[in-house]
Amino acid sequence: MKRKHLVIGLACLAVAVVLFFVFGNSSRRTSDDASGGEKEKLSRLHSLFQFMDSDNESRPVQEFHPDNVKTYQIEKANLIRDVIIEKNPVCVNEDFMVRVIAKNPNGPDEHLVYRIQNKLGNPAILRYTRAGLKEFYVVVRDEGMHIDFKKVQVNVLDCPGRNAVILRGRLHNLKSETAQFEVTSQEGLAGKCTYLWDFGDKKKATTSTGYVEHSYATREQRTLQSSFLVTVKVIDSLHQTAIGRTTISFPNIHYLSRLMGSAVLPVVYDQFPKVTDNGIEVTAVFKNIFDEPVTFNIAEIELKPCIASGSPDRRELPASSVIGVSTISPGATVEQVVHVSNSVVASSTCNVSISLKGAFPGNEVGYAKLYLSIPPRSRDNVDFNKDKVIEDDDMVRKLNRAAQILGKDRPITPADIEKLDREGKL
Amino acid sequence: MKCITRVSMVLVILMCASTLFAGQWVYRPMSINAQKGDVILSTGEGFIMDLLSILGCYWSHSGMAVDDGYNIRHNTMYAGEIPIEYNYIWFIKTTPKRLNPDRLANGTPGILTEDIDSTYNSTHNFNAAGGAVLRPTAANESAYRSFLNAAADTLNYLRGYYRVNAYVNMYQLDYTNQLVKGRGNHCSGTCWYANYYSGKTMNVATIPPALVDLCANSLYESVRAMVRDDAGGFGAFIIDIEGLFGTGADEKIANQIVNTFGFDRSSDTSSYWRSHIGSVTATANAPDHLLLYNYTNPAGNNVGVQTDSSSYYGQVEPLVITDGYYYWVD
Repeated sequence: MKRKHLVIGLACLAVAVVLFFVFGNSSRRTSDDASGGEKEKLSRLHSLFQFMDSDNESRPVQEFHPDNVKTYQIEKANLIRDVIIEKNPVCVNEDFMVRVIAKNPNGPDEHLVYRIQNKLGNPAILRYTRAGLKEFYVVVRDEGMHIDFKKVQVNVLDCPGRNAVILRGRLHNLKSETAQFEVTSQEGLAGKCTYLWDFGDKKKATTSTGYVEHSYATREQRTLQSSFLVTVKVIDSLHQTAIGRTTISFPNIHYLSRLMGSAVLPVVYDQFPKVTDNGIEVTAVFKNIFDEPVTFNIAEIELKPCIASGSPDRRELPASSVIGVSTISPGATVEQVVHVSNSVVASSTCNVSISLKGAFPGNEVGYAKLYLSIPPRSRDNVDFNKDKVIEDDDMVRKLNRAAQILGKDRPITPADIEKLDREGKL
Repeated sequence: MKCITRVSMVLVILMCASTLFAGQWVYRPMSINAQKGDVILSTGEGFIMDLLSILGCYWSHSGMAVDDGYNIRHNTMYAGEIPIEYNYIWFIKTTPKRLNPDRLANGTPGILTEDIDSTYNSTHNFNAAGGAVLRPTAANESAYRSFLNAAADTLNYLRGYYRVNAYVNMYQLDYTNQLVKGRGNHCSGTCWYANYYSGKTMNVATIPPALVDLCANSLYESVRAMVRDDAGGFGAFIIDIEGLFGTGADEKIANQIVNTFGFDRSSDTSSYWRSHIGSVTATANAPDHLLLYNYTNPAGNNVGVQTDSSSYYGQVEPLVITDGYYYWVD
């Protein structure tokens, strides 16, 4: 009995395999000329055996010819003249400045790009957390294919009993033109402290905590990177002081955008426009970082509905209908109101992208772009597939409290919550 | 009596319902200024960044927008999660020996999709500062967008491990949605394959042996420095193996990582690479190699190997994150 079943099973399998090869191949061969009914029949049969027909096999394999691809070869060059270490030896957790003197035989010195240990920019503030003889590399490159590097040694000693402030700077996770600075450790200081900040861009601030954020969005962008030396002076309740330093370096992506497609000008604006009876408006600061004037003549507007499945609407308007000042002089910073009328923005719109398109002399295209958010104005416009209802009671309590402080009509960002939390207001 | 009970129950239900629908807080997620199929470039710190900077690269990580700016699919490795193997004397754990070879060669999670909130705010696989979006030029936008949508759909299908060795040999990602040991890629190789499997073969950089030698030495020094004093990482992710300091394992692990990078010898902690790396030519794309050949990156170099005909991507734009927000809805 069992043998009989086995034989029948094997026979069925054999028939299935034959059918697969016959119909599987013929379905590919005749796919172009088969009529609709035949096609459907064949594809149904073929689909029965699809598990045996991996997608890999049906994909054409393309040949690569790496030899035909242009290679990239860099050469060692003599660029570094000197490496100046502010102090050597230094104490554990003591910051020290490293400055590289370099010459570019192939072009302007300003085109050299520096990396000191793992920090971009020159000079750089370094610090070690353990005693011992430390080594790091200084790397200098030009805009071409030349590189120079040097190994540098510094002796790090334990220095007990010394006042010290460790200041750390990092680029913001979410705001690309903003840096966060934090005093992560302070030794030898007592009681409540005051923090005097110098951000290295001629702007200063005073805080009562060792944390601050600073925007460098309207900085000059005339080189590939901009580096800033940031200092914090900490004064304790006994008027003792200690100083912490760090360096921060921003890549000038706006400056570079002109070298990588089209120029994009920096714009600083609030993400949430004011919704008025006439439309939406937001105050924006435009910075022309280039050496030529730019004149915006077209505003390309994309309006995305709150419900993601809806199609975006695109409009092209004269720039003058959106902004008041359309020409920005070289290096100038212009603050103005950007306005889009109600006839353009539907009540079901949640995202408005405004791309101001203009021209530099010589017909080169330049852009300034704003990405605005309008919270859904009714329950019908809430996309519950994308947006999440807050069900955590503690979060709801925080949001209610934040709304009392900031106003309920205003959207609340995670950064608002974080800030209010840090200030102990929630 | 029954009637009164029923009426009061209905009233209670109505009151509850009115409370429920009085309003609620809703969160709208973050987004970026990318469209489906655009490549997102990010900087980071760590030994991969050190290695790539030798090649003149600026960006250390890349991924692809798989919808209109809410999710990025990319390939990465959480190096901090690689188990450390120890030496044993009579079943007593003594000194660290090496990183688990299998996990080093086949990095996890590999290809994954993350929303913008998570990747920029929690896992920090991507960083806003220095971030950029690689997309078609305005003139080519309408012509190329459907192809880029197809590339994003392809990447949504693909799965694979993160392969350190892909920095030397990029041709190792199959058209499959299964994890296969010994197969996978690194970040920009995965973006390259998304384009390739949807019909576009982008150019690939060839790195000559002298430069590979320089990279390997830099990688070795960076890993040792990382173990001894600082932290570093793969792509954007931080590895922290400070516990290895002073055990002599720093050199072994540095060797192990360079052997994996150059030769896929993930169990080898010897200095094998030193005598063999001089003849290795790398065929692989770093994120910067996805740029057009005449574009200058923020490190001041024209590293890209693409041409107008080999790539849909012709414009580099600064990344803009539109913050997520809570709003009240009645």
